[in-house]
Amino acid sequence: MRNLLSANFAKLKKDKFFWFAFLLMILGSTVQLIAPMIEAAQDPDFKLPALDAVFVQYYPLIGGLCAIFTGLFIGREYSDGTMRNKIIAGHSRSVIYVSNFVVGTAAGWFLNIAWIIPMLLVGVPCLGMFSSLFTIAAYTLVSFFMTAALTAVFTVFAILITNKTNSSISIICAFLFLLMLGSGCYNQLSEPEIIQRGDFVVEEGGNVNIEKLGPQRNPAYVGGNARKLLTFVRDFLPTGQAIQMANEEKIDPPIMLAYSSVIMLLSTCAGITVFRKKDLK
Amino acid sequence: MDYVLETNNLTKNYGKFRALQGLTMHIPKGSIYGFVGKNGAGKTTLIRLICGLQTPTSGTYSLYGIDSTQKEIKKSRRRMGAVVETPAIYMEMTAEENLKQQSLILGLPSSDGLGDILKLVGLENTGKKKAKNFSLGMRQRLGIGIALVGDPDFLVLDEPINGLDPQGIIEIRELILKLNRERNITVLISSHILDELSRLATHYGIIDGGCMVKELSGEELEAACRKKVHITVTSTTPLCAALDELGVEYKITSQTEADIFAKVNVSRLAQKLAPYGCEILSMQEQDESLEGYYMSLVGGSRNA
Repeated sequence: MRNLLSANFAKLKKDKFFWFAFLLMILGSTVQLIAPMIEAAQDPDFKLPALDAVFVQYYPLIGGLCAIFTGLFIGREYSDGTMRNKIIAGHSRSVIYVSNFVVGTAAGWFLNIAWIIPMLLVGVPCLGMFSSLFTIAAYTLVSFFMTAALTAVFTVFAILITNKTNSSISIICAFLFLLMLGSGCYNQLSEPEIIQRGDFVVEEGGNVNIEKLGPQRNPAYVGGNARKLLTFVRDFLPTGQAIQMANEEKIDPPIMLAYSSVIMLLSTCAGITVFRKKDLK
Repeated sequence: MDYVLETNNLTKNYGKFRALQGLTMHIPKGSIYGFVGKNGAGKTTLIRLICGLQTPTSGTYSLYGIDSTQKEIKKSRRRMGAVVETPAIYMEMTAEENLKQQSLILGLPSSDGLGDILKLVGLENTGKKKAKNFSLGMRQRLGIGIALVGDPDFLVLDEPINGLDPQGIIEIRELILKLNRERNITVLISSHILDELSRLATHYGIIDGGCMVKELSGEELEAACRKKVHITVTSTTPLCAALDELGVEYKITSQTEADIFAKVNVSRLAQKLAPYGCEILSMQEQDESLEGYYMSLVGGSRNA
């Protein structure tokens, strides 16, 4: 395992897409911090956002970058044929699988760190300290687990689909599907139970008045067991967790960490089981 | 005889298609084993099995006496290097970086000796040029270089000269011979370019339709391909007496046929046979190459 990890990390150091994504995260983070400050300099009425609000914006993005990175990083092992070298060198398929997952996860964590660095170096001096350091620390921990869980899912696709293009496309589609599912659950659960309804009344002379009908039950509101199911899906999916954190929702970190761990474990075990039996060319 | 690789009744199915059908082969230590067969005969399938890329449907093989069903087979694979189909190299890396990467995969304590490998495969002057900018021959040599990291004593090369220009073919041939003679590396080389294989191999295995048609040594092949005259007579008993009198080497193949391994004066032979009432029905001069021998075997097995 140690040999493959050092070989994969050496490969990571030379990976162009990884460095592109790393710089993109640093640049994105810096731009997100500087843009409101420029606006504030031009418009004295503009209120600077809290650092927390800027910090949390990257959570949905990190999954997309991990999806592209994992597809290319592992896909290249097949397109260059170098996966064969590892098997012929006597490494077990389980070790090959886990080493790829570990390096993919580490790359995702580095990308997280690339966003955090400018936040600390530029954001804190310019926008002030986080309003709740505990919440940000919890978000960061959940984000690291969420990144690992997503990488575990992407690794299954990348290892089992031996064509680099097909695996990359499948991984991106899987990520978009998970993102839409998480986002859909979040939006559905955000619907208020009671809404104020009113009818537009057009009076003679063309004036429009709103006739208040009073509070009413929102037909889009999901209750009962369906709400429990949607809540579970939203919290279970890494993309659902990302959307909640990006909206600065109150989260339950231990549950989310547990969910991400379950995803990691299940997908890695399933991936290894199939990979061990797979005929390679 | 010590064998590096032995396969026993090896079978591999892909769905309903049977790529290998009970293949049994023996690769002697120190040999260059030419694995001959047309496209789709099962050469690459066998190589994929012994490299651990695929598992046999039935049958076993042993590497250095370690059976494929034993856990130690993975360890024994560390003593082999292989280039399966296309060379397995990182296109975005230089030749030296590729070798270093393989050295990390193998967990070698240092990268000393990688320069020697680069020199051996003739890539010592490639500098910072990435593998994606190499010619096909250079990539093939780099693939062999990677296979040599870890100092293997068994090298598996699958169609190593496919697509190479004449200069590239000569370079690969000389490299294989050098590795075999100077480093005593046993080589399994699969090819359907028989002329090239006959310049290298010390042993041959001829495969067709997933079955081993024939295994033979270079000497046996030479004997089989010796210049000979195939003669058909009414009876071989007087023929034996006549040939003994003429002092030529021969081999009786049936009651009316024989192979004569020398040039014979037809008139003299006919004169010698006449007193016995023996007639010469036909005479054919045969001068087989590996190609001819292969065709006779594979054609025969197909018609059988």
